[in-house]
Amino acid sequence: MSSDPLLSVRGLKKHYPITEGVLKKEVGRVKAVDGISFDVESGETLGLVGESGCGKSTAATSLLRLEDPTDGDIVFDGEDITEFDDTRLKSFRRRAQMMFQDPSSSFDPRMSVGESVAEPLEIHGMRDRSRRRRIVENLLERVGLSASDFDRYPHEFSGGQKQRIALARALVLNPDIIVADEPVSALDVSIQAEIISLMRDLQDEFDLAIVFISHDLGVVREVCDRVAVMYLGEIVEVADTETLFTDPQHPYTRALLSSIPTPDPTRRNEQIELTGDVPSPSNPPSGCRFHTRCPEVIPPAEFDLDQDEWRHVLDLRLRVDSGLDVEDVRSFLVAEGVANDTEAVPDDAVKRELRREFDIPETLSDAAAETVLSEGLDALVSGDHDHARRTLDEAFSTVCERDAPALETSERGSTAACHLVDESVTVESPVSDD
Amino acid sequence: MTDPLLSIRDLHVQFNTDEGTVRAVDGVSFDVARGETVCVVGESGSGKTVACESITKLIPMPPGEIAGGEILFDGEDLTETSEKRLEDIRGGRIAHVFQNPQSALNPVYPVGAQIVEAIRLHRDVSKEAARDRAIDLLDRVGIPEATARIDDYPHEFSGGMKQRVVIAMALAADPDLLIADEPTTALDVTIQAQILRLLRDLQDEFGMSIVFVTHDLGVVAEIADRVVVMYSGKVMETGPVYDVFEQPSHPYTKALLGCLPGQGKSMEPIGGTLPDPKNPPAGCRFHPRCPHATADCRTGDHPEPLDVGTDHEAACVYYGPGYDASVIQSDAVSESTATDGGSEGGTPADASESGGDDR
Ligand code: SF4
Ligand code: SF4
Repeated sequence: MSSDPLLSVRGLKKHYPITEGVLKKEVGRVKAVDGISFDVESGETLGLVGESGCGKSTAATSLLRLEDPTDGDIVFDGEDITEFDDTRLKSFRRRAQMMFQDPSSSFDPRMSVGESVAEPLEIHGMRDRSRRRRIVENLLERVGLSASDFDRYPHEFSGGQKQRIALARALVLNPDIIVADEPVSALDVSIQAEIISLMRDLQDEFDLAIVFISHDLGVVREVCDRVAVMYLGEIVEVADTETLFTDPQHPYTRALLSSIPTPDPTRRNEQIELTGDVPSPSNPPSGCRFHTRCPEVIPPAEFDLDQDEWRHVLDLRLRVDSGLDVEDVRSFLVAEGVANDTEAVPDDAVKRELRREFDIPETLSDAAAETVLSEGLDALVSGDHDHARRTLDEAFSTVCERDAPALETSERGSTAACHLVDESVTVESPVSDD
Repeated sequence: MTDPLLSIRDLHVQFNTDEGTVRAVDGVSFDVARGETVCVVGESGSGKTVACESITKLIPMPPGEIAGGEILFDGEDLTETSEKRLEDIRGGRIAHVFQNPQSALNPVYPVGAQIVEAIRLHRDVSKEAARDRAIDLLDRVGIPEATARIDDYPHEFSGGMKQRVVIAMALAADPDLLIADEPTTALDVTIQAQILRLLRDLQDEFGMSIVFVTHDLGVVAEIADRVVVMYSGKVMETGPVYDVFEQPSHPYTKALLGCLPGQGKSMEPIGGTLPDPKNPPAGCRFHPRCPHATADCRTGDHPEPLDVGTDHEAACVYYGPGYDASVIQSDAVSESTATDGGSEGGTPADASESGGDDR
């Protein structure tokens, strides 16, 4: 990577306060973007991917200061735009454009397409009307429309054509960078492919850098040179596109890639299943934010558990921590017809049900671990929640929960934030490689 | 196929609007066997959603109208059935799951109460028994600690969990047929994988048939037993999922597979626009975009479905007499791809891509 990228983002944060009452007292913060760093070279396409709530769209708007970031530096062509006043921000925005998913919403239905595309020229001071028209007509042709479309109105165009017009508008000021948020996600696949190849051609022609935000990993693989994967406001892995897709280092990246349905029925059921939902960004998990779902979460060294078994035991433990109520289990068993009322539900049935619910076998493969688990479950059903919690917490803990892994660059050139990649953490137990 | 559960025969569904008649479904036939999953795949305006919503007459009528054909469900023609009886079948023997779980849930009632109501609508059981069954269903669709969640409101569930609740509700009356319209499209991919797995498991357990409507060929490969490929109100290709993916036979199916992004090989855009539903092309609906189109393709009716393998049909003239089908079956994608229809630019397409069945 050259020493002087076009865009360099360091420690970018965007937090939204959660307020309560008329005095708007801050009671918490949604950490939508929580300290991300990356570079974009000129002419390069960087993908920002992740599932909903990972912060990728917030990162996009903060990047262009459409929203002011909470913290961090955004250095564009050598200058920190977080320090810009309004005048300098305006000239920055000539060079950095944004494109959105829904092209319809970005056009005024009463304005002709040509006027819409020419609008930025006017805002930035080009008075000569016929010159504006010439530039726009030329651009319409370059995006695959015709000069005569200048005088037509947005409703006369299909979704794919509208996205071509949106591209023309993004390009009209000859920017250095475009931040595109899901620009092809609303399009049908046979139309999407054309817009993707158009974007690639125009990028070469205009030597454009693109930050491409998408949840669609197929599109990202097609479009991007490098990809940054986000999870709960953080970047967990950055790599060249092919490296990322063929040799993902972070367990989240692996799970995400394996979840993409492939158009090949002989490869069914190959997904790595992620259990549970994404936690709330207002209260992200400690240590590695992925530890509550990670299939590869590092087990404690003293036990020799199957990776799956360990994942499920940890699920149970985390659930006990957050206040599992055994009364609910008893009433579930009543609903299932095990007994007539909760009092009559035998303790053994409750323990069996807990193992079933969390997919834990009747006896764990490691005897010592089984002893601790049984003690914990006994305490739980007898109503001694604190003891259950202490017993389980003490034995079933993981480095992934205690320490946040730093982004480390591996020999392969990818950068990932995971203790399994980080050399400084020694992993004593064998970790299965599924 | 012997005794299919559902047999759609030459179905025509049209919308009579001020600007003209839209023949959204224009002579569609396919069968669904018992315990089978059939994926109906297509882009906007293909008619996939309209076809599947017509089964229980969920389309608004008017402007919608079933203009011809039969929908035989367990031998009974649903196009002729009284509204009263259809009401019983809807949510009873035929259940629906939609893209947006919000639309199926009432925000002001706890989810449990809604499932209980769905159960009691179709079964004569006590409130207590229905509640027990609701808890059981929530547990089976993978809602953790069902008893603790049953009295929660829809907004207290994540998108994926809401879709699980909706599936539980759909299962309330033990349906024979589940019609799922893009049920995972609004979900994140890791959650989509969970829901697809859930549907497969539930089908094994309950043995119902599933009609799964989707635009995503990846999802089709993941879940279908058989595939129906639709385009512009017509069926282009049908067949067992393995055959359709291994030997895609219709030029549209091939083109659709060829333009999928991110498959690690070069992507071939199809070119052209989706047809205008109010004014579809004559002849083969795909001819303006088809690299193989001949004079025969440009006039007359859409080609008849022709056998290309066991239980595998394609509606393309190349499988008829006087044509050499190997031309379109060969894997080499023709150089002339997409020149016929020109680029998508040029004349405005009257927003035809969005004027379809995707709401
Ligand atoms: S640090 Fe631990 S929990 Fe996080 S991704 Fe790595 S193995 Fe998984
Ligand atoms: S019938 Fe003609 S236009 Fe239609 S798919 Fe076959 S070759 Fe192409």
